[in-house]
Amino acid sequence: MIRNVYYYVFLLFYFVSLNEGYCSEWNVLKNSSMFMQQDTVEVLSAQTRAKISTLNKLTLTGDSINLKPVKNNPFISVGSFVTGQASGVYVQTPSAEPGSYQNILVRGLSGVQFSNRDAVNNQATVYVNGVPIGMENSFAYDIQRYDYNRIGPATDYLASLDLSSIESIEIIKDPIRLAELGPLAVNGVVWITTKGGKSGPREISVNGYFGMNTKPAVTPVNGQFENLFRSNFYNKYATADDKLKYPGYLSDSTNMNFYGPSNWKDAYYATASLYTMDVSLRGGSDRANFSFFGSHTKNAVSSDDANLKRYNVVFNVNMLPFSWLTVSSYINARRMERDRNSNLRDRYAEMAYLPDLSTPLSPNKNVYGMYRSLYDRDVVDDNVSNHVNGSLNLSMDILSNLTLSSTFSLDYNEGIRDLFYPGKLMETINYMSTYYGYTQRFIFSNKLAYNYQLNKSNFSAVVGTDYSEDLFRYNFARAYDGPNDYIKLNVVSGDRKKIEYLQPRGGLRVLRYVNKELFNLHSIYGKLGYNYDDILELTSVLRWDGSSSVQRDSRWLFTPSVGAKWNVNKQLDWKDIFDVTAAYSRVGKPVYTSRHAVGPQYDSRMGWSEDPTVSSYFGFSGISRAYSYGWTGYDLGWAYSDKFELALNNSFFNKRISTLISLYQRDDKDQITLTPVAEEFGYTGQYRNGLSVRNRGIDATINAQILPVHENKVGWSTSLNFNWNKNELLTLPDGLTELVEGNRLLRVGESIDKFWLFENTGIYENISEIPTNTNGVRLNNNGVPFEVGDARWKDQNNDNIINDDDKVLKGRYTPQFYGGFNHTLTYKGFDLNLAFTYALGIDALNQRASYRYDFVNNEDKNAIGAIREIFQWQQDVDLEKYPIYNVWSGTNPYRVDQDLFLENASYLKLRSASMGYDLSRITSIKNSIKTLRRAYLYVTANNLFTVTKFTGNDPELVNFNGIYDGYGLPFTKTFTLGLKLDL
Amino acid sequence: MIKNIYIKFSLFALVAISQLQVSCNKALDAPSVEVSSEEVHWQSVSDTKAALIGMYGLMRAAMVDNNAHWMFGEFRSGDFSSYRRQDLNAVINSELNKSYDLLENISTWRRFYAVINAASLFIEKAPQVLEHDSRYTRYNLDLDIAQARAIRAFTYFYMVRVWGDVPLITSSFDNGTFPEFPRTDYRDVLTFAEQELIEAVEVLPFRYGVAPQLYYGTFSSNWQKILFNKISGYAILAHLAAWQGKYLDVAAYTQFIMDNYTEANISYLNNVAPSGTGTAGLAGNYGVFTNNFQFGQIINFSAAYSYGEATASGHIEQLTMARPYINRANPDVYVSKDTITQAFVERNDRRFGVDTVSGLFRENYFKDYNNEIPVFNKIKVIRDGVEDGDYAVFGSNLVFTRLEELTLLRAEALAVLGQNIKAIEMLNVIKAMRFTSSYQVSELQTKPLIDEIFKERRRELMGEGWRFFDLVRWNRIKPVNAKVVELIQKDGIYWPISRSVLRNNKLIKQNTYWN
Repeated sequence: MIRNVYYYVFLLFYFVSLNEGYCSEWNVLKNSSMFMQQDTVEVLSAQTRAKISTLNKLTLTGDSINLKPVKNNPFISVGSFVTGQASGVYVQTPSAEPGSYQNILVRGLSGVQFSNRDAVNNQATVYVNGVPIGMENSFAYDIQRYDYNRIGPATDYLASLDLSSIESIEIIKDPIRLAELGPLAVNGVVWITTKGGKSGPREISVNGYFGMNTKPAVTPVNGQFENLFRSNFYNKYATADDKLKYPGYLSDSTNMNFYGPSNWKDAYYATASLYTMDVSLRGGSDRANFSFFGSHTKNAVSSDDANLKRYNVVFNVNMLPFSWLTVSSYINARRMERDRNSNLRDRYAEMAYLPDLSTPLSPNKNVYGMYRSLYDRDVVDDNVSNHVNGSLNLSMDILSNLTLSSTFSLDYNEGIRDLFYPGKLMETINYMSTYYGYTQRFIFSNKLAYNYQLNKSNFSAVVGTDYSEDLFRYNFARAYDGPNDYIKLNVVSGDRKKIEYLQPRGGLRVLRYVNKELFNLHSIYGKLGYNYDDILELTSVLRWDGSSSVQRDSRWLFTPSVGAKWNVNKQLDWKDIFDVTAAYSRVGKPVYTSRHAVGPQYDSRMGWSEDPTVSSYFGFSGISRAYSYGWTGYDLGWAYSDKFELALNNSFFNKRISTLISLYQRDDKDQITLTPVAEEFGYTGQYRNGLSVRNRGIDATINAQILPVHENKVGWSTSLNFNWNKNELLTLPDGLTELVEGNRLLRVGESIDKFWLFENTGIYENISEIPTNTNGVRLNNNGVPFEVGDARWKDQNNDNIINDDDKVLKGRYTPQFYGGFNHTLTYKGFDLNLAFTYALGIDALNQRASYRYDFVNNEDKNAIGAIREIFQWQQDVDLEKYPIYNVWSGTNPYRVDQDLFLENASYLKLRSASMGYDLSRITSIKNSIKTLRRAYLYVTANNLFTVTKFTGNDPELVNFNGIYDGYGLPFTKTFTLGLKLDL
Repeated sequence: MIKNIYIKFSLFALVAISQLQVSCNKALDAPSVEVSSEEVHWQSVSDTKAALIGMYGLMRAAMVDNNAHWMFGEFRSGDFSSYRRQDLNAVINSELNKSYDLLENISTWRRFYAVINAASLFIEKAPQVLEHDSRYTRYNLDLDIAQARAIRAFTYFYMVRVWGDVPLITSSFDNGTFPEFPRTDYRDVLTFAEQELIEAVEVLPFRYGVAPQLYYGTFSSNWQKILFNKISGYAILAHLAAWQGKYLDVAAYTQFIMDNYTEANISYLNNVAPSGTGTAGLAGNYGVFTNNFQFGQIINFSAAYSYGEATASGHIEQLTMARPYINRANPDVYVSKDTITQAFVERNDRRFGVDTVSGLFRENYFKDYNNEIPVFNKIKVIRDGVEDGDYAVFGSNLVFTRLEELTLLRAEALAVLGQNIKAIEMLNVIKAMRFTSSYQVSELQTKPLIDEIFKERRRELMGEGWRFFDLVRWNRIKPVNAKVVELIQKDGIYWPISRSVLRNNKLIKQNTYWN
């Protein structure tokens, strides 16, 4: 209803404004002859010239990143560009493998993040030249039993952008600006502009570096070590039968494959080279300008031969055909090819088939080397991603103060993965799979901006509409046991008329999976602004957003926003900056599954926990209510985010010190979550609105010019940014106070990223230490009495039973306090840049240690936890730390959900140190190349040191849900030498 | 000039866009391709077919999830030993409250209630289709609803055997409310199930889709492998009664089965290991566990490789298979040599014995008896029944019951009722098929008949999920195993109820034995 009223108001306003436009335009025509001349006059006024669009017209704020030192680093992903560079941005990086997923969090977690698939609900959106880059839909995880990796190339789209092509990066946290961008921006925005066209003399830049990633220092171990480790348990607790069934590969100490030298690391780690080469060109006239950028980059890590090759082209044209019309377009095309790790776990999880895991890979170089060469020779593992995004913008001045602009934006990201594992690698069956999937988004936006100046007051109004369509799709086919190892692809006939249409050849068993999701968003918004002499600014944004993923009767959401800025320095005529901003906004929070919009529904899932994809019975497709997915009712609505911010922007001592401090509160309300119901109806739960999370905190950036830049003196500028963040679960659906999901518990009033753990207080060495209650009943775990060798867990409620009621919420997997500390020192033409990052008050659950100790249960079950990777033949667990429990005990003493495995993962890192010199200062060089503007030669070292108490490999290499599994490829020292030429 | 054209054009465009916006609520619809909505469902005969198949599929999923069917019926106190797995040891030793994920996952009854909900929903909604689709006939509807009722009754019976008292819910609700129900006395649950079945068997046919009348476009040669027929209904009725000790009823129901089974193309599995599809047999690649079996089934859940439903999990082979069949050193569970020799006492037994000509052990149940760990190969369907075990997915049927089982059940009932001669006759049908010596009336004093019947069940049904429930019935008739007797007395025969069930329904109380 309100929406309809709004339509009419909007249309009315539009017509009125147009009519006014006609009238006043005619007046202009009558009164002046300028108009007719405009099309012919060659010399444009400075004011008109300034109208030409460039990609870089946005005024940057204190949340912009100082990119100059960042550009000395061989970073390839947006997450890496911003790590430690802006306050309030925390980047989760579970692996140093180039191209693997990162999660960029702006001002904390807004919702639950128990698994990889939840990350998409929390991640900030990256806008490139105003085009929001699509994210992968997590629906592909539905057909996977394990979500270690997404099917497909699993290459982060955000690894495709080239740092060198970027002009500026700004983190948008301001509630009003986020409200203007709308629901796609609800989790915060990383606003990237690439180098745009520039009128003036032609500028050429050439940039290149070469570097190497060094090998990590590891302490390899062999079967003897493992044997000694296990003897602790076997000597103490094993029965004769257990001893009899000692693993075969360890029981023979003359077996050189396992008891021989452990030198696998020579075959697994190798110094890796990385490089980039790019060229950019820009120039143009007053009427038109352009820019071009092209690059080729290779990034690699020393582990497992993992690398990424990337090609990137950006093209931008801006035109001013008439003084009242500007046209601007850009297109950015990228391609990535990735060589991924060869982890067995990831492979078997993807294959959805576990072979016999009783014998691990040999730590011996000769044996492993043979495996490796076979792998390199016969395995096909092609991962290609192609990306195109671009936009076309037309902007027309209907009046000097009324502008209509229309933009069409496109973002297309596709991933292709071909996989083949030969039979020799895996028992005797081979496996092949092909994947093709894409995320496609187009946006059509129109807006009308009006500006009116009255004395010192300026009024502005913008009305606009955006329509966006996202399409997510994948086609996935897997086949097992092909005829031989030479046929590596399932080639089928694509002719529909033929009888063998799509029929696999050679007795392949092909399983196909196809899915598609749509997400349409239509927004209508208005923005009203008032500015009094630059002293007081008032802004209000009103939006109506309609989403296809919300049910029809609650499809449209109205969200208001209001903000005020007081430029105290203007009012008091101070030289230093002093302004205060207060803002509130409400922004809708989109969901990317269309299933919520359907209401009560039927699906065809007839699988079970180990084989979730079975969807037919006796070849007939069967459908039923979505019992395993959960009940969806008719009453699901929008979730939204309420954002408050109070920001103080100051400078002192003639701007030698500047500070930006903001206090924020962000309430992400009414989020949909699976809520448990009585299980006697077959459902795993029902989807309900009502999960609300509050993030509160302080962002601060302090920039100081400690020693001013001076030709013959040392100059020192420093920038410290930090964020203190606290999240709290405000409500759960239906007034619940607790919600259990697997091994996690959500409790109202607590942080949403806590672990749910038993408190471990040691070991029962003696039967007399085990408490008994007044009736003489021994302390038990769900009815199983504790024995000597079991873990001591605290009986929180003193009921003599250790069960879920005795688990407590402990630790957090997002940091309470984090940020970066960056320095630039200059002397003559030299500069030295140091970048530190830190995170404090963050914890991780060491699942790697838990799995290592719980070897009996893992191996006996032949479960995914029993997989032993080659890199696990090293001392990666602190063996001093853990008691020797009875691994055969029915109380599961090495369960991961206890604080024995909870570790402080706080850290301080020197992430980057670089030093450079501008060769163009040398007169002979300057003289020989006349057009040389800059020739910057630099060396950079990354990952120089880490200060942490964490006992695992690296405190950063933790999964999105706080689990440390030891699978992240390590950050090792990287050294690069580069040259930047501006001609 | 150009500007004016542009202004007019943009005005036109904007008005056009605005029109688009007015109708955009509809344009914003992006229906999920993964699911079908309430509005479009229950409209046609294909919806009822899919929903009918859905019920069977859900039942299969419920039974095979974590191999629950065998955990419940076969391994607990049964003949199998765990090679190394601690969690299976816990099942075998009835230590069901130990902290293993497997035990928690098996002890949730949600997946069975999904079947019950689907069946209730079918009974409520399927009649709508009559109005929408003329191809859907009243007769077809009656058949479908009779199956839904039989499936629901079967599920309740299945749950009562495992958990004892379970909440009896006979409506789907299906409106977004999920009221909490307390547990209903198991006798009332079984009474309901029995009543439902008595009405359903009146409608259930012996065969579906007898030419020229197709049932959902398919002939009986396919339907006989998976759908519940009249014999199925009586088989469930017989077991319902047997579980409650109502052996008079058991005798009556099994009488009907014995008189009519041929109507449903059901046959005795005369051949222990048939070499082709012509004869009905037990083990091997043409036996009752394979999709090659061309005779009627009584209660069977299929997972045919040819339909892409063969999986690595959810089959007893997942736990019992090892070398030489598949690439695995040792099986998770095996029947120890002691147990084998204890169970199979006659050398002539075709299931396991010694071939008098070659002097070798027969390998229809166990492979490599001479090894320390023989592999249980009675149920061994790799893919669709191939010898190449490289790619170990299994396509075996979950045969809940078959004619031999019901024959022995009848023998058991008759023996309890004192009709020894008739009981012996039934028992000897099986013994003759397996080439073991007949039970003689003269042995009644020396070898109690009831013991012989249960011993025969142990041999005949090994690996089919009956052992634990047989032990319970046997010890109810006469105490033979002190452990089982204790379990019966303390209600320990029931599984603990999972923590998630208890957490989400406060009216449910844990089984006292596991408190």
